[in-house]
Amino acid sequence: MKVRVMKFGGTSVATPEARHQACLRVISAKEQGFEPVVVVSAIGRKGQPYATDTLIGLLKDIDPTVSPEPRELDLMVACGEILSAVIFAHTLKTLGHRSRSFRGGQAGIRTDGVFGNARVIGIIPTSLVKSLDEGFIPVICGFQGVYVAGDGAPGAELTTLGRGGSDTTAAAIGAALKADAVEIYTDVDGVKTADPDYVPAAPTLRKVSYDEVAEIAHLGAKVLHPRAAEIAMKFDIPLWVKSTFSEDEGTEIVTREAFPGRRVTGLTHTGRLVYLRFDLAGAPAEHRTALEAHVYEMMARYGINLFMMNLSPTGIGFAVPRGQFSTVEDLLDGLVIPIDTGGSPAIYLFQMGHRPSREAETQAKLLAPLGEIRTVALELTENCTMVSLIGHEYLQEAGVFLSVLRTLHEAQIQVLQTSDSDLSLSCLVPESETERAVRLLHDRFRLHEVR
Amino acid sequence: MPQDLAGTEFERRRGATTVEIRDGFAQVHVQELTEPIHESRLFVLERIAQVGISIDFLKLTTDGLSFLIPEARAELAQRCLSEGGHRFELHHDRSIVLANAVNMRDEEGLIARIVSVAIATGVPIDHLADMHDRLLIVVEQSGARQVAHAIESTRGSE
Repeated sequence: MKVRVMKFGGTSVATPEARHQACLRVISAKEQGFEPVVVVSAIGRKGQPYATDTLIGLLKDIDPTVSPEPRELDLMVACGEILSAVIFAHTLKTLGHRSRSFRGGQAGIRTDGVFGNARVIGIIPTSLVKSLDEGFIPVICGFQGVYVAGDGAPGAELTTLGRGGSDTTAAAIGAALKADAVEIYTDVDGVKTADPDYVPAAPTLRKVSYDEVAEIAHLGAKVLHPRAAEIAMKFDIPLWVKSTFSEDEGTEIVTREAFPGRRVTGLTHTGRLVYLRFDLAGAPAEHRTALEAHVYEMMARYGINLFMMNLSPTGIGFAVPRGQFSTVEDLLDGLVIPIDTGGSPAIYLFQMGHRPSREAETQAKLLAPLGEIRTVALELTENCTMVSLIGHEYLQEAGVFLSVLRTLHEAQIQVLQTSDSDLSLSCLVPESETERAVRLLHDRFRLHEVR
Repeated sequence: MPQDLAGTEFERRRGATTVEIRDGFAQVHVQELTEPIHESRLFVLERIAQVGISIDFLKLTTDGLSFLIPEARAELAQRCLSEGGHRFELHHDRSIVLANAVNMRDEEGLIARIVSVAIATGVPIDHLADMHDRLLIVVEQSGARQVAHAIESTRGSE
């Protein structure tokens, strides 16, 4: 049995025409002698009637100040994939092919009990195998599984897999069925050297290593989720990214051994960040450590995602997603950190910018009788984007970072901060300059020649 | 044949699963660069590149920049920067502590949690960076094991 897992994303199942096109791909695979197993995302993207965001909105709209329980949210958003799977299976039937839809749990996907971000812990694919043996094309709801608590309660709790959940479903099902290949269908031809909205001629990469595609996803381009890449790599399942709507051969995701890589693989951009810099130059070293620990511990407790972290003797800095900035502002503006000095404590008061808000001002007045208040001013830079160059050893060569900075400097694009790792070099730039920065670096590193 | 994978660990555990240490680095802080600051930074990087030194962990500071180089190239970097008339500090014996945590950006607050654990050890941290599956922390070599141990001790608390 040569199983081929074919996952179709939201845009590939958004309209009857798109679903028809996706079904033809499934039928074509069957006609080529494969046993297709389909995984589907919810229908459409934000704003469309059955898209995940729309379903979440149905709960949030009741009272925006009350957060839905994660368990309830999971039940609600799972409806999107259920609708999608049933409609897809029925479309296949109308085209003359027997098909059967499965919820994640029915497909045998077991997860841990973390609602909203569950991890796959096992798969019992009995029902899928039976369905294939009976000549049906299974259509599985992506993004979901079940948690069996083992406490004797009947049934199991529905869970969702979090970001990239449908890709993860496809890879895990591929591993469980020892698939010949897992194909992720989307609305672009494959993994590109840059966002085609910014660089329309950005070529499609024919091969990318698992770690490169994971880093690309980590730094902004969501063409394939790293969790899926990780599972496919672990179980040695060939993984492809293809377009539902074109005949392009797509991108194959392979191991480093199978494809040692190229000098530079591509450019990504992670939009909408706010960069915060804390001036701690006036604090003694032992106080600075306590203040840094307190700030990071607070960011951890409230689930804040940090980018572009920087620690220096004069302060700390990091960027946060704009969507989380109001939480960060609430946490930090007017924050008071007393530090035990043996005698009277040193009191630090945080404020946004150099002019105190009403909250910071009130705190300062309340604290005044306790002694000297030391103000930590947070310098804010709003509307930033992280532009990242992805590659391998070449990025570590002398002069590559210089080349990136010079290219941006010559174009008068301000670089606010930098960050790098084994696989990437990143620059924080004003959001308004993102497109220009991506285009310039794409040209500078001759990415149009990459295949 | 398809497998029954009921007990197979498809995905790695959340949080930092393993911690490694890479020794053998030196850290360079270049300070008090003249205006225009960005051109001065480029000038420093150019000199370093011209002598064939690769850099990591490049960070921009208000009056300069800092970066990490292989310890074996420290003497060459020192000579190069001295000849350029730059004011700088060279900190030897630096290590990179790598906290491996798969898909760390999907676990909200995870990066901050690991950093806060590292800071709480009291070992001064020179630099930070992240990849899709690891956080990199630059510290003095003498404190690297302490930081690594503190991060390891958080395993299973996610």
